[in-house]
Amino acid sequence: MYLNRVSILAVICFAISYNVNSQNLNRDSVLTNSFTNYEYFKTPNRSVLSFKERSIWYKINPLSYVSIGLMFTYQRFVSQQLGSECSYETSCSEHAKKSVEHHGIFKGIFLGFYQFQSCTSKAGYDHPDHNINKLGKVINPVELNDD
Amino acid sequence: MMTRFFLLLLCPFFTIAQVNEKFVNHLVFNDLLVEHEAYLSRIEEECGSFDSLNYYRAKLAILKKEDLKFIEYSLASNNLVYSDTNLVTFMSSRFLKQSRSLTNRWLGNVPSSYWSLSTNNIKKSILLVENNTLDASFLKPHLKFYYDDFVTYNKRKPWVAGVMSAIIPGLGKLYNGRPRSFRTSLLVNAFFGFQMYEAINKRGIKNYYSILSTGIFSVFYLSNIYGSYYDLKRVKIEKKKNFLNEVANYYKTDIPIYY
Repeated sequence: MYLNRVSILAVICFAISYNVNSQNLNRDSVLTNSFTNYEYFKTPNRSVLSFKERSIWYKINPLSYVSIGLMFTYQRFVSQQLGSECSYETSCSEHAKKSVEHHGIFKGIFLGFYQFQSCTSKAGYDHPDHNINKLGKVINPVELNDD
Repeated sequence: MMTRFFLLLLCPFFTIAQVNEKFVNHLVFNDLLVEHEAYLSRIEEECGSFDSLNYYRAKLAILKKEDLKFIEYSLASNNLVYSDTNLVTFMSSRFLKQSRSLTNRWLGNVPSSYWSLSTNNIKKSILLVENNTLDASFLKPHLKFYYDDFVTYNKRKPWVAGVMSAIIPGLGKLYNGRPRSFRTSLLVNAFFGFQMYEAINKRGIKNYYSILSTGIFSVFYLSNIYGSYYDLKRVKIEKKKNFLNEVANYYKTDIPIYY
């Protein structure tokens, strides 16, 4: 990958913008305590992207099947290896998948990438209390429910 | 004659089957929901349905969080549920946290003569959210803050958020009231933008790496524009629900429904 001075500077800016979580005595005690209180959250089952509710044009569009394949590959083989903690209730890929099902390919992909850009450890502070679930994650439904 | 008179005296004992309130309270405080249900069903089997039984069934539906059944039983109780003003206010605030249509459905059933001041204010708040031109002077200062917040965001236009994101990536998020994710968005777009610029500058537009980096940047840039546009619609709903949640919390009764 070709990187020159400006790109390296951008990478450094991006890196230092996050808090550096170095290991210290405090964190050690948190770590040792966490062994006893550790709770295993099973990853929810992920369905294959479907177009049951979409029109015939979406069903015959080859891009639909490309996106199904890409999502399937990412979620089954890449995402599980990352082991990252999402600040949203529905992960970016899952949100993108549901958005594609609900809004169509282009809008769905855009909304998925938008969530990817919005994801920070402090994303919860941008949302009102009723939008945070019991685990402290942001509830991000695909549909707008104005009721 | 005397026999008829004694039979007339005994009539109330046969016709009015009272629910034992102390026993019901005992079942509630010991979390015996199944026994509670069985007790009320047994009374219904023996004596049929009557107003006070429907009242207790409605209260049981609250414990079981079966809201639609609660509405059903309260209708069957022949205004007995509605005469419990505490219960009406409690359920109004509870329904308001869930949805406006459910609250309107519930308050549509309750005659206005049974409304407390809190219930009245809950209904006014719903009307206020639907029509901002109405008088908001009845709101307490605490609620006025949330209402003003809702009105401020309700005036904002989604396309402005989109345009702002097009000018500076992430600026639309500031406009939408999401300052924490603004930095991430800006840095991600800046990183891919610089990468694209450098690739095109050094390797030319026809190079495969330039095409790839342009594609990646385009997706992030366009998604930021459309996302900001769509997110403002979501923010408006969030602010509305936030205000109504505060109203529900403010007017909820602290008196227990079983005592």
